Amino acid sequence: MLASFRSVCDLVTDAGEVVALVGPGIGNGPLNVVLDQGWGAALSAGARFVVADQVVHVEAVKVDFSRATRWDARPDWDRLRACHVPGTSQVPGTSGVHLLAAAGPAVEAAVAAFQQAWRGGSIADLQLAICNLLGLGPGLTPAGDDWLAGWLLGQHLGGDLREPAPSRPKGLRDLEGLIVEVAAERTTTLSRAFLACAAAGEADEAWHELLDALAKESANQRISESANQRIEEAAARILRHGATSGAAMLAGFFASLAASDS
Amino acid sequence: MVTLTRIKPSEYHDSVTLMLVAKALLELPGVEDAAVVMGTPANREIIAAAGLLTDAAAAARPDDLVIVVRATDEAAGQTALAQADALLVARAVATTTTAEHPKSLASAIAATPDANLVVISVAGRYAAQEARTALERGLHVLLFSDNVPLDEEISLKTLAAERGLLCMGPDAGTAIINGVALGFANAAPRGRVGLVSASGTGLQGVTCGLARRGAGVSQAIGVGGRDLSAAVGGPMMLAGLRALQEDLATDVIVLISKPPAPSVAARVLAQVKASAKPAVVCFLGAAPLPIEAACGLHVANLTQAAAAAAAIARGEQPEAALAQLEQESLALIPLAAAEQTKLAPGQTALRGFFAGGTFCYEAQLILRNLPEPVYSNAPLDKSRALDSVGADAIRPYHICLDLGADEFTQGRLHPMLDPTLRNRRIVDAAHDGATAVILLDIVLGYGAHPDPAGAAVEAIRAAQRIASAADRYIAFIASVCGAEADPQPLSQQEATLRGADVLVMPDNASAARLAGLITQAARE
Repeated sequence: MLASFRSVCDLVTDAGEVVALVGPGIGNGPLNVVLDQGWGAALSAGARFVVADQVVHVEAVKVDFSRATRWDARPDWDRLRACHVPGTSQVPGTSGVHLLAAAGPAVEAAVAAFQQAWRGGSIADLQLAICNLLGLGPGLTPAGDDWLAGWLLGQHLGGDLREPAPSRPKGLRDLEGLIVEVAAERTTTLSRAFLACAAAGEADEAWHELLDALAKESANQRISESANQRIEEAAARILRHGATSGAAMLAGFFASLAASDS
Repeated sequence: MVTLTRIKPSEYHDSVTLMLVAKALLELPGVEDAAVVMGTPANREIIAAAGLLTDAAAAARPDDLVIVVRATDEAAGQTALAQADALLVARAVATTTTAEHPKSLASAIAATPDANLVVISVAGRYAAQEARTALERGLHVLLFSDNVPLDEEISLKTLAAERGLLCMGPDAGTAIINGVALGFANAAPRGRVGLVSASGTGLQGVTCGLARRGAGVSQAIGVGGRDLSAAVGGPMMLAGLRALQEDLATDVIVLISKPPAPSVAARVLAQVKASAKPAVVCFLGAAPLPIEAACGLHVANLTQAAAAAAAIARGEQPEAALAQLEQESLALIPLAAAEQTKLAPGQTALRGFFAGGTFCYEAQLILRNLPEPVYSNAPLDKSRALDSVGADAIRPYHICLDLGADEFTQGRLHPMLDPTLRNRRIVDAAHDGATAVILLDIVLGYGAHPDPAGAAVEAIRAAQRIASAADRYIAFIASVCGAEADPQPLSQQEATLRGADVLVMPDNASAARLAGLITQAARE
């Protein structure tokens, strides 16, 4: 067991794969196993767990997977790519929040260097900027990683990350591979797993809701009142993720959209 | 000095917890520096840059929690490490019960449904959207953020005016609403004088001037520096003025600005004339005639504005208060003459280093009658811009710098918060044999440096030593903009400056006048 919190218990297998047992309030996510009820007792980080016959045994807790239903962590990127997603200034509830404020100046500087490399630098510059950003900042998932995960989700709107795309720097062939490779050495186990999900286009349920509410049939179409409400609720849910993680991830996502627009 | 490390393998806490623990360690006695981070390479580089990378920290893995403490001795360091352990456990327990802070404007409004004013201080590119949201929900706005596009400002203020709301700003650094200081403001007593200002430090200058004269503030409304431009049209100064004219708790009104666009000034003065309530108009550098034609009381500077308004609030004639100020300024002449005798030959130049933009502007107005030019990064007219002539050409002449201007604050804190840049200028000026006078404004209040006078004194003493070693003397003149009830009490701040042989004047106008008199005497 990697870490244990009030409603989340992160497990890591001997092969380095991460699974999160989560209480009912957390919701679906690419790493999450959502339980019908909490586990009631404090679990100890570092404890061993065993999986046998579709049952996970963690200390005194048993989780039976046999009747679990699968949830697809990938939003419908093909449909979203055919739609129009507006930039930050049109999104209520999130636009005014200085999303990276809590991450601190070092993260803000590394983000600025990354954006500069994205706009005009070489692939080597970009690699260096990713190296500097990954693992930067305090916390469970460092803010640099959170920002980058949001950036990756935004990039999925421009096409498959394993293929070149016009909205990405010339010569960048496999953004997903690049991130996963650099992350292997540069960040925490848990954060690496989150980043790999984002790179593969997988996201928490709240992100599915946000993307769905943002998508418009055309650039000229106004965002409806009901969509505005859904955007605000989804963004608020993302912001509640972690102490600063959700905010940093939203900042990366909107920066990614802005970069693609320009 | 010792540097101690604790590695906690595979221990995870959220980022806020780690930042708070690090901050708490820094406040412990004997702790010089501390870091509490995950051991990722990027974080290790950060702690290396801080000189905290021990061998153990360098060997940490990304999944390790790294705590490093640099302390004066082993005991202090060990105490800090033990405290870190305790705090991490305590935070883990506390986070299960702590109420959530609002993370968006919508949730903040939902959490405080009775609020009717929102203070917005986010990056300029986001600020307009948040202000619009607040106005659409029927809340007044104080928009502290700058870098809001002009068309957005016009649109926001039009919306506010339509809804009968105030949109104070963008770039409104100061306000006092119902006795509550917002932004950079002072603990001014409450009273019967209402103010509307397009200048943050101008508003601070007059509210503090009122406090010195025993008068208080009903409301002090900042509207942002562009409100009275032709493009914006002064909608919020007009709205604020009307509100104060109707306010039963306000007996006298003070308007503060650099000279407005003529069409806007006409509108504002028409509104002054429309009410019987007395108005003191301090449009720095503006001609008196149109103001007097509107039955307003024209004053030439912030000090006069405070003196006149305080007199009216007491039921006295303002003319007597203004005459008294003139009498007091005569006392500066012998003081200037005495200072001049201490200067060495060639010491004729004045160097003004200002934290407040309006203080810099006001000083230039007072000094504009000097025979020699005063150059500035924020000049009264473009021919006196610092970049209009080479540095060597300017050197023997006078310089007033607004150190809060954009060119000095890119990527750094405002000089009201961070004295580093001004202190460097003070020391540099001391190396210049032409420097006769260094003129400073010390701004107190909420949001300002905790000890602005103390922060300046070190540089002042260094400059005095440099001058003395070269057989020169530099006259240091400062005014302190503050109130006794400020977090940095006015009397203590003034005493600190006097202790460093600084000539402390009661206001910026007097300080500038004394500086001008000394340099004039030196040239004669």
